[in-house]
Amino acid sequence: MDIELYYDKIYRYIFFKVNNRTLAEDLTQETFLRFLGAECEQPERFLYTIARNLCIDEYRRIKPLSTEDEEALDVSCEFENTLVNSLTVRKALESLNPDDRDMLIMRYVNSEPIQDIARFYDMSRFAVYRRIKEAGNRLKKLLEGGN
Amino acid sequence: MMKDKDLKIILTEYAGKPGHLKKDTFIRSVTKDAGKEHVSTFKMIAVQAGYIRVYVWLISIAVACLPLFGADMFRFATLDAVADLMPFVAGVGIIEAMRARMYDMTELESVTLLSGKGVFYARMILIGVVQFALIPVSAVLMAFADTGSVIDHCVKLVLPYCITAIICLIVERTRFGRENVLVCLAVAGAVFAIRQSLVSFARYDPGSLTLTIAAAVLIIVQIFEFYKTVRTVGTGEVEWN
Amino acid sequence: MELKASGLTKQYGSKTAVDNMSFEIGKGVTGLLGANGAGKTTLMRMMCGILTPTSGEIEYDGYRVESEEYRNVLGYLPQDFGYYPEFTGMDFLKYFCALKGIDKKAANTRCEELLELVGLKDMGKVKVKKYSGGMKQRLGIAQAIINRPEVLILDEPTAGLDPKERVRFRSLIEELGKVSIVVLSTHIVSDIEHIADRIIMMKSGHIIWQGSWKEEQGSLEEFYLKEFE
Repeated sequence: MDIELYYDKIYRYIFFKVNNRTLAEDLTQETFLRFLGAECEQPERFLYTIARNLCIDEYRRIKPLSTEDEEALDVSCEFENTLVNSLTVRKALESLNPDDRDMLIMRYVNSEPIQDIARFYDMSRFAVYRRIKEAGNRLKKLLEGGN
Repeated sequence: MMKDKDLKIILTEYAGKPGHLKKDTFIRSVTKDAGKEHVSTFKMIAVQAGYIRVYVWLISIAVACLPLFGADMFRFATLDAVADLMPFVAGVGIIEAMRARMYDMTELESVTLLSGKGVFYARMILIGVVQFALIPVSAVLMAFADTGSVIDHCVKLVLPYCITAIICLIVERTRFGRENVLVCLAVAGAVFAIRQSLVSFARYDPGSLTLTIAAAVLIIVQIFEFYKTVRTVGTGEVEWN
Repeated sequence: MELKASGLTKQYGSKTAVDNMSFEIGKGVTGLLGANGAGKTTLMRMMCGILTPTSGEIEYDGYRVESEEYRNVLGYLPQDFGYYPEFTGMDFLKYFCALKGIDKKAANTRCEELLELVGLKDMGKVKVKKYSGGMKQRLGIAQAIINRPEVLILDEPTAGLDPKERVRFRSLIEELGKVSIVVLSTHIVSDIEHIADRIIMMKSGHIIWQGSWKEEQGSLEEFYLKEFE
């Protein structure tokens, strides 16, 4: 069952785009509902496509939330192993180019192979690798600076 | 500089997990609409195949392949050696099939899609079919060294195997049998002893036609007893609180 | 979502373990309260479809409890259960995934998720043999909810749990009760006092009281003790 495998991944992918748990959950479920109605050969890629499109629609529907609103919606985030707080993480993520951020999330958080990410963004593997590496380094620097 | 692994941890923790209740309800509703397919016998067997311990296969194969190792060298008749071991092959097979009971897993298995009956059924079919299939293999191997016919050999191996299996299946339906799974080994020992005294010492031989008919009847009885035992698995009728 | 029993009776020889019981259980947590030997386990086994009633019947949303459809939405934690000695915690859960028809790839994700949910995240690779009583019980709970059941039946689930585990367990049950039918049996009032939406009190095979307990009615503990003196 694809849903069991991809649910959390899609949720995280969407969460980093919309920065709101409830909304991310709703959009995740919407993604799967649309996905189940269709036949396809590469479920993973298709799921990411639906998720991305849903997020775009969502942006159009309501103007992107301002930072303060987002904070109000989502502040409960604890880190057990690190000293970095969630606000620092958010600020750091926001400073990235959205595509770079998405690729980074797909690679680091969802452990998708570079090859798949490259196909999804229609770019060369090398380009994707380089962008993720750069985005990663930038993020690390920001996170360490925020300590 | 921060390691990739640390960054991964920070980001994953930042995203958190989707609420499990909302996820449960959603997955439940979606999969229910899709409908769970009925578990076929083949699927049941395939699932169980991975959970039968290797030693059962090793013993079954080792006994069947005894003729290869030249049991003759030890001044044994190979046929007798293999036939003597057949009850134990059967006993071990039934113990393995009944394993859930030995380790108190029947109740848990009963509430699955396969059900306790299904689990036992699949395990027994799998073990039984493999062990039965090994009998002609063994007979053919013997035929190379021996003068007897393959069918004759098969029959002489089937008899002790079936007799043991049938008695074990019947015993497993009694309360005593349920509580003492290892009783199958005692049954195997008894069949072994009886065969020894009848065939090896008394040289009892009713002729191959009689034996062949007996073997055929026993196979049918075994199948019948097998289904009868399957029906009693997981009903919990003997337990009281 | 409704589990409905009517005229449910189970006799063992001349002994009647469950005597003509009728009830309807809906979504939420239902506590089955009674002393040892009151017939709780017998009743729960019948609810799971693994024990055939002598007479009467039990149904879930029109499905017979013996049906595959019902087993598909059922989770059960028996009072006693074992494990194959070679199993690690992860093997144990994966085995039940296989039996409950969850495919292999998904099973991995699901098992890890559950180990985390019951607080056994780091114990997945350890043999169940080495688990403490409480850990084994938590593994049992994980097994019961592996297929995201609509009906969850737990027989004395708090046995063997230490006080801290009990608290954690209670909040898990309370949560699950929001989306499923949860029936749990116990002889300890405090296990269910604050989380049960409904209580069925049993004594020698009969229901002696059922309904939702309200604070105005006084102490449940006192009532229970009086009944069982």
